[in-house]
Amino acid sequence: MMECGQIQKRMPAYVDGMDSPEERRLIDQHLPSCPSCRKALEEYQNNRERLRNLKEVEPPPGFAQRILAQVEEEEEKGGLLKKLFYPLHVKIPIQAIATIVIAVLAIQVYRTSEPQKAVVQRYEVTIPAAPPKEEIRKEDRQEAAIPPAAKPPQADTLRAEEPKKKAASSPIQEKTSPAPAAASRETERAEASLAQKRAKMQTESPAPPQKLEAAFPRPAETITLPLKANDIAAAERTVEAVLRNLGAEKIERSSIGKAEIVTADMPSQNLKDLLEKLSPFIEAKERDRASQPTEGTILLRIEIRPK
Amino acid sequence: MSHNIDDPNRPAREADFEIVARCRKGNIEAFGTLVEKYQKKMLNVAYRMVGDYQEACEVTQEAFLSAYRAIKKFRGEASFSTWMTGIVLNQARNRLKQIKTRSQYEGRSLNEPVETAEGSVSQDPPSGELNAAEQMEKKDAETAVRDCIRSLDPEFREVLVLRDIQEYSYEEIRDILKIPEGTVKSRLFRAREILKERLKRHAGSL
Repeated sequence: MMECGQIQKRMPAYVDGMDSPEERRLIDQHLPSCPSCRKALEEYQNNRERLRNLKEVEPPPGFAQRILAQVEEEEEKGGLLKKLFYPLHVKIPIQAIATIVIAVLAIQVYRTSEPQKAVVQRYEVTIPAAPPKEEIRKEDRQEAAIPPAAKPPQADTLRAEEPKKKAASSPIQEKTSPAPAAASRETERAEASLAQKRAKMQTESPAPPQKLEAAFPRPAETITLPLKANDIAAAERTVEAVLRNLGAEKIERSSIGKAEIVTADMPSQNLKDLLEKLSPFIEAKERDRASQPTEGTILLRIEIRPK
Repeated sequence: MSHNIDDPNRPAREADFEIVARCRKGNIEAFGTLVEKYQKKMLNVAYRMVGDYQEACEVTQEAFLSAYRAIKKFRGEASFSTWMTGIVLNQARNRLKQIKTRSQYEGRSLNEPVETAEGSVSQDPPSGELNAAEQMEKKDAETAVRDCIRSLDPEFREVLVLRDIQEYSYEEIRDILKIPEGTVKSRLFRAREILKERLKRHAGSL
């Protein structure tokens, strides 16, 4: 004999007529003697009827047409996509075009940004190397990496220094600026540390590629010549005339305090002649120091000071 | 079991399969035939599942659209009607999730009816046989049943809708829901139990 729980568990199948004949017989035997199971069965049957009698809703007018219109629309869209992607039976067009466009853009961007990068690199080397204004008298000339137009007016006084040359050919000049000995020692110390820093920076910064070398030639050797003269104006004229004779270019004059500075570019092979011609104004030791053999163009800085 | 041997739906099933074959060749008109034939049944399944007429229309529309997209995958293992009902139920489940998220976002309780359903009720064609009082009474009883169905978990609602409202066989329900027949039976038992309790409580509260 089955218990009521088991009977009621089988009731949905019984109600649906989906149970096996044996199960059905067992339930049929149980029901007459069990009012609670009879009640449960009745409830199941009633509820099923209620569900079955729920009214159906009707589709809104034109429902099927609306669905079909959507299907057709999608079909057309699908056809268009197919035409875009499969005209050659190879799935390349859009992807290939996109790849080419990206490649061309990348090259373009690289090209336009390259010169700017070079300028930035130059600044990184030269700007921190600039000595603090006019306080340091002893400075070698280095052609600035900045294009001439961008050069500030006092660029001459802000010249950067070339460390490797410094030791060989930069004479110390303190005569015209008679600062106390302590101060000059301080200046020297400051310079030494600056030179160290610069040297470090040069070794650290990688050598620029050859392409850049063409656009920004290496700065030429710089030579500073201290001259002494009674008549500064006359000496200056002589210097200029001599420079011109020796094929110097970019002759520029400026004055700092009582001193007159003449700068020029000159072929290095003429250096010896220059020293000879200016020998009346140059001290012997300076002449010897300046007459180091060099190549190419040299940058001259001639400082004429009163005796 | 007896209902398997003499499948009364067999001729209809074969006719459908021919139409489906034409659909697979890209014949939209053939698909139109299927839409015409099944729109009401599918709409009603959707309506009982989501409980709102407008939502049900959208669900049905979406279901037919995805059926069209997937028609090449339909190999006729089951009848078109069974296959299509499965799609409608899937769409309905997704829609119910959306509604749930929406109502959470709007801070509404899930036990409340999603819509007042007055609009959808008015869509029901009034039966001309009953007088006004009888209609009112019937409507109350119907509302009670509808609310109780709506309060069930979707998995119980599904079996109840499929078996007691749409009168699918256990085997068909198994194919639609892709669950074993034993699970269909036990789930149906649980669903009917819960519904019985809720209807009793509903009647008591009146």
